[in-house]
Amino acid sequence: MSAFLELKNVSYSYDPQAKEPRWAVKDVSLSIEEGEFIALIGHTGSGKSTLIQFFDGLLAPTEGQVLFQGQDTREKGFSMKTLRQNVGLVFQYPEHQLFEMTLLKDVCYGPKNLKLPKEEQEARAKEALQLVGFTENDFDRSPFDLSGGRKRRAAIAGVLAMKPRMLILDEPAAGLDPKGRTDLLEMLTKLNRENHTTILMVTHSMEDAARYAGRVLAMNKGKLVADGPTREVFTHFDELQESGLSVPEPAIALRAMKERGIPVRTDALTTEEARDEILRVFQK
Amino acid sequence: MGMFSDPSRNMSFIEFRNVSYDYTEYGTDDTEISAVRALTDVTLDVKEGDFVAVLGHNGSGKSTMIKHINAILFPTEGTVLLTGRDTKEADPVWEIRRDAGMIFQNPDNQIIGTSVEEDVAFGPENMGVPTEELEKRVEETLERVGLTAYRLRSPNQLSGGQKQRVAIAGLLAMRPKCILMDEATAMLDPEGRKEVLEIVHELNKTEGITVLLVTHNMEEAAGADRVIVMDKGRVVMTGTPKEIFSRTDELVGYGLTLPDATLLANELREAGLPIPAGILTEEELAEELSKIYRAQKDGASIEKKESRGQEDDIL
Ligand SMILES: Nc1ncnc2c1ncn2[C@@H]1O[C@H](COP(=O)(O)OP(=O)(O)OP(=O)(O)O)[C@@H](O)[C@H]1O
Ligand SMILES: [Mg+2]
Repeated sequence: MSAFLELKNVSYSYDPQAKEPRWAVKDVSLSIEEGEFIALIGHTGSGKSTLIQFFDGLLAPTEGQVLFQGQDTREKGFSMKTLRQNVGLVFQYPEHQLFEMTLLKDVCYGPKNLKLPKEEQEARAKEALQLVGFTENDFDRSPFDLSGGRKRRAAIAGVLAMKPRMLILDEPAAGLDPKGRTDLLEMLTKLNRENHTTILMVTHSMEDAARYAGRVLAMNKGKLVADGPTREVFTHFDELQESGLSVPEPAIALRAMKERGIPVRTDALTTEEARDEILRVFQK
Repeated sequence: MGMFSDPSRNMSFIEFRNVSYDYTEYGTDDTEISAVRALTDVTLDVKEGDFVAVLGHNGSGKSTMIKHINAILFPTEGTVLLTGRDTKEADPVWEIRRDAGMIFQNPDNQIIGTSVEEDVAFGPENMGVPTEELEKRVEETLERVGLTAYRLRSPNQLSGGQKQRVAIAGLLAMRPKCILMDEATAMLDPEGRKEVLEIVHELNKTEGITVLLVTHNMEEAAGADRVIVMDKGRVVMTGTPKEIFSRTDELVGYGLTLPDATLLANELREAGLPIPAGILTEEELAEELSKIYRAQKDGASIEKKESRGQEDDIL
């Protein structure tokens, strides 16, 4: 069976006509299966934002192919609309685009543009709002009276109302306070587990990548420098550092212990795992 | 110093006296419709040369508070003093803004010039600094933030961390006494975050520049001299990072959390390892654990020796 989405030797240049074009993305191949929760990490300018735009057809690669369920998205018969309906893109600070007087109206905006019947619009909007943690009592509230974290979730509901099978989010937790951050990431986890929505999240937080994603993609200078199970990727400390990245804080603690001669494994992803590993060594 | 002691030595550097602030919301016909209270009775005192982290949930009033320091906002009630001057009476107001400069969250919104050099020169040039002095300052400050090699580059070609350093150089060229950072590292990758923090810590240490750092990152706050916690427009906790991060329940009540190293240290202590309170960094934690580990090992080898001694006896 073919993958949900696949990139084959994809490159992209913002100045392809130049004598020596600079490549924002260079020769990236990867495939995404339905149901995955993936974190995309990489320093500023490493090509993450360019890469994610291939997935919903906002950008077409200069070279290479993008395949949706095995179909080349540049083939004649392929409709970009199909791709956009299946893959929802949530930009940074999406709450800046809220504008309606009530939450329900705001989330209806997308389905309305799909020209769905009014009942269907509302049904979808309500479902999406509930998916991100709102209750019926909230539907008529103004989105502007919400806290930062809840505003952000309302904006995400706007994308979910299009019923995408995959959600791509550019730093979804940026600027949120610790509680808002945890709530949002737990909400995405629930969406992934219960609704089987495929998630690809761009993040600068190694801790969030470690705790929530099953797979990590790392970019450096337009290239995909790591792609694998989260734990696997975070064992490559030196390579990550060379790419301007890091490992999660709990792993840093374990590395500092190892440097002091304590025989611990250093591949813990969360505080709980680090605690258990330390206790294992100390209770021998 | 002569016969008279320098009065500024005894004065607070930044002082808030019972400050409240209301944002006024206007209707479509420009009539005031409502007031949103964003600060309530804030009293604060920051000493010159302090490095202060400001924590608090979204909407708790952090940005509103620090905008009072450089006279972007003025109190609805109460008084804000910077080096003893009431910000409301400051004349001209740019003197205050020169003394306390602000770095914002989005690196792309702060760049004005077409080259790094031009960008750094912008502030002091507007202040009327003469050309020769201006060139000297630009050179010096670019050196200071480690961007001399980039002076002729277009700021668009820089990374987020480099852009924030350009913005810091721009402030430094105005010779500020205080730098206000409103989530200035929030949009940066780990490397960029590190380089920006290192620069401000160094400026604080070597030049005594007072720093107020608004952040949602507990690790960043752990590196400050002092932490202020805000909740619903009020200052609800102040203290050293050690003090603040030992009051877990209160912090959680305010929607905050602990640095990861503190969290891990607490869990280990609960599980019975004798780790002292007040751990803030991975290095500190590893140091304590290695003490315990060595003690355990020594203990174990003493036990071994003892048991071997007994075996010898039996033999
Ligand atoms: N321009 C404005 N007009 C009206 N109300 C405002 C304005 N700016 C902020 N507020 C309100 O003032 C209160 C304090 O907001 P402020 O932006 O100072 O919080 P903050 O702690 O900086 O939050 P964040 O962590 O989200 O940056 C909030 O209730 C907010 O909604
Ligand atoms: Mg703010």
